[in-house]
Amino acid sequence: MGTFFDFAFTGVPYGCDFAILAVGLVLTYRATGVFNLAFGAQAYLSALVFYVLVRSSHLPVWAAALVAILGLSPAVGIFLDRALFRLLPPGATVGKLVLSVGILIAIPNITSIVFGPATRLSPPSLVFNLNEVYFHVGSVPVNGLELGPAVVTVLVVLVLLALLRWSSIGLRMRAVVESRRLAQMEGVNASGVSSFAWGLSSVLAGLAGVLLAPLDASLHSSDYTSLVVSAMAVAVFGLLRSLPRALAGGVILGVIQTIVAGYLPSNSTLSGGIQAALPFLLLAALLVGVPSMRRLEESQDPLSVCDPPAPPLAAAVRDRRLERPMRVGFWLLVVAFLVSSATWIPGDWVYELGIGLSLSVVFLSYTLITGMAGQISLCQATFAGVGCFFAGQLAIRLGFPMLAGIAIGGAAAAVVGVVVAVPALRLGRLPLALLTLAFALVADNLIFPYSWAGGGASGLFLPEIRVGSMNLSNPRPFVFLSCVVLAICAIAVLLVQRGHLGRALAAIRGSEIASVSLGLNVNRAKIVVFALAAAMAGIGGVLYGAVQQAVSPNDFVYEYSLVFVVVVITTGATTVEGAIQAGMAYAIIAQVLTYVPQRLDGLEPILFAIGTVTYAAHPEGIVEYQRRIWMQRVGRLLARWDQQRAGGPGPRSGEAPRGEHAGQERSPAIAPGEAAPIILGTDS
Amino acid sequence: MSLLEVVDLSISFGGVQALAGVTLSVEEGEMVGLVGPNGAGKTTLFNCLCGNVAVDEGSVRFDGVVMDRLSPYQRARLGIRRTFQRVEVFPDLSVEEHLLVAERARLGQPTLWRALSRRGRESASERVGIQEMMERFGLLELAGTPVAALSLGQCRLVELARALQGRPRMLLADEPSSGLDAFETAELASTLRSMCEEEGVTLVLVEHDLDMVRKVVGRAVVLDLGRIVALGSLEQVLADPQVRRAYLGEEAPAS
Ligand SMILES: Nc1ncnc2c1ncn2[C@@H]1O[C@H](COP(=O)(O)OP(=O)(O)OP(=O)(O)O)[C@@H](O)[C@H]1O
Ligand SMILES: [Mg+2]
Repeated sequence: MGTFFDFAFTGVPYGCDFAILAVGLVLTYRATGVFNLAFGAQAYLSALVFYVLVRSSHLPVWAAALVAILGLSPAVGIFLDRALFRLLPPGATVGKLVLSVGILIAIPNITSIVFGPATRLSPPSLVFNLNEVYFHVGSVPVNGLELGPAVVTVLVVLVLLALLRWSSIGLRMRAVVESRRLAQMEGVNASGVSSFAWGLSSVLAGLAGVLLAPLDASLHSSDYTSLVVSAMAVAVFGLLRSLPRALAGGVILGVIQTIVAGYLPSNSTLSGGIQAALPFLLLAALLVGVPSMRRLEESQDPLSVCDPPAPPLAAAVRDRRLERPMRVGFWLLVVAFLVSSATWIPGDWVYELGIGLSLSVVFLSYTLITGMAGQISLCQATFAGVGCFFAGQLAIRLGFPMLAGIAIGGAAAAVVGVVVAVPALRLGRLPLALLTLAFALVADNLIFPYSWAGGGASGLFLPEIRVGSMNLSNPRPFVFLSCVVLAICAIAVLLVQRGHLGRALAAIRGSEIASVSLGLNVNRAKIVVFALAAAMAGIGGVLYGAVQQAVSPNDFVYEYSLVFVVVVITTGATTVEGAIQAGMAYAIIAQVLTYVPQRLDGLEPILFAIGTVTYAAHPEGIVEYQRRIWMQRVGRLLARWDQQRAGGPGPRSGEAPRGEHAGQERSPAIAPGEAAPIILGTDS
Repeated sequence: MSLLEVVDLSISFGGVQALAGVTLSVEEGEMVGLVGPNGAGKTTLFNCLCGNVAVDEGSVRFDGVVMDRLSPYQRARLGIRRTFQRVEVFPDLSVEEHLLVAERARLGQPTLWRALSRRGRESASERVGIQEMMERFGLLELAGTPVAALSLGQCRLVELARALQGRPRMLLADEPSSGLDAFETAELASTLRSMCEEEGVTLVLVEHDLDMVRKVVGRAVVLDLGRIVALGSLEQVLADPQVRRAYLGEEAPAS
């Protein structure tokens, strides 16, 4: 039995870390409504600063801890709250989610620019000596590595419980959790409370980060970003409410993880995969299985019904005279692009443009899921991988032509899309995003590493796309091929968007309960759009693989899904043009950045992560927004020109009929749900 | 046989018994007012009929079909439409498109291919019905306006028009007059009544404005604390001491 307890004890410190992070997640979520995916990145930041201070600046551990955990961490948290999250309107679920993904991506990239990408071995311990054995439980020795996190975690949870129950800030916090605005009307400084919650939870993140560091031989940002998903599983286990439950859940998860790993044959793909995927499987199961988790974000402020509806986006008013020049300009651009990429553009640029076109196809899937269904999916890179690997394996093993593989890969991804969509049907936006993230991580750990899927560590080498004697995998012909595929996919998306299904989805996005009351089959519409989106991602994935030829599971890990979301949301997730611009911008910026020093490697994701900040102001995306503004300006100019030609101040016919915020001019809505007074003839 | 038969329906939310053994039947073509103080369970009864919440006990038949296991959209396809106390509209769609969605949904589920390939604009034949419906509710000038830009009262009219566009056999209207002024309410009452009479729609109307109830319905059901406390013509029901107590509290002198 010795081994069983050995395994169990090695799991405890991990479990404690999960628990601390989970508690922090729950704190910010309850107090501010933000489910902070960037929490793991904040933990990493503290761990890294702690490491640098101790190992490079040779500060004593207590001083480094003071700076990293109690100084930097809450400062970052409060900054995120004040400078970013507070700008979002209440109830902007998608906005909050996207912003936190942006931060999650930005932090590790910024740190690698600031501190350099060196490997950092043997991180220092916060409390206790790592290898010293303090006492025995039965015959099992307990060393500092295991004891430290456990002691700290129990202390932290006790302090927090006391704080929430007995202190006055705890009481105010609970009031804000119930209703931010009601609390404000009662004189509670809600923004102070939310800053406090952010600061406090960030301290927890920092603490967890520093405690976790010595458990691994070296410090890696990727360990931390997926760590937050484990913490999410624990938070959901605690029903996003109970701190003791979260603590218990964390420890149980950590212990189970090491026990499972201990009893499975070591060094097999399966055991490593299961150990890593366990938290994600658990998260998926909890999201689907626990009814109260299905609609996380709908614990709304009771006063939110008092808000007038959001102002509608002004219709893209365009003067009719602009239509023809625009169309001509578009075709000129396409021809110029094709001719240039066939002739004078250098080879490495053409290759990168081919990648951009393939990614544009992947990004079309966001036009469907985010633009039409109003959902955020964090597993589109996984679907792309499914398409790519399926087509690749068929081509390698059975000799299928790669050209047919483009369609086959799309179909395979669509099937997997249906498999993911069915359990996700009843989920709200936030749980759906989390479920897709969990799915991406499960695929990364449990499916793609196999040689029959992603080709294992060495990856796959895809055959060329051939038509007759022409090799379409060469960059120049590939640009033509991918343009054709992109055009077909874009037209398909446009048709769906403007057609019956697009209308139905707009209705469902607006009010699911009302759509159902009309007899719409909401589930089917959702499954169809999910499958279509997965197919787009799959098709794009095959193209993406075909131009690179050598692909491995690393090309489709969950981090790409996160980056993709951020890129598309920044440029515009509601239109087909937005998706294409996203793909091209991504590729072109990547190519431009090859000219800057190596050290600035992470600049591109940082740029797009910064772009997510604009989401609050114009959710239709930067490019789309600019285009609208320009159309309006040109329209106004044309109108003035008309006027002058007609002579004198005639009616300004070309003026936009509806201004930017036309909706705000209307009188504020009477609160729906407010009952009319009872008019009962009492004296009848 | 009655169109709607509710037998012994009960549901509780945590400690609140929202409906406690409600038994009710509504005949085809009838207009019934469902009244009662706040929190009586009127909206909850609608939610149970439409399948939006799972009932604890009891059974509902519509036109002889036991609906207990049907999902909300299947119930809607049997010919039940409703409006919502807290308006539920599709903010991105125009008024016209609201009616189009309802019209298409009425015709049942299209095949997958047709759902994907069909145009999102109305065909000429669909347009006729939609225009007529908008005219009845005075929404013609607003046809192309996104609903997010309408006032609450206009949204209520859109909801009603959308529900009636589905050509229901039974319409459940939840406080359609809240948000409208007295004049608009009177107009709505006459429109609602004439529409339902012409099309033979059975109406269940939840309304706090008893003037409107008086104008529309033939029979009233009074609900209090999840129970039916009185049934009958409106005047008869309002004279009932139990009803007066429900509205006015225990101390009210029984007349
Ligand atoms: N989803 C729910 N969860 C918890 N309690 C609920 C829920 N829905 C309704 N209730 C409770 O059930 C009772 C009946 O509510 P219901 O909304 O049906 O009343 P109502 O008759 O429509 O009142 P009103 O005239 O105010 O609209 C109330 O006490 C309400 O708080
Ligand atoms: Mg009600």
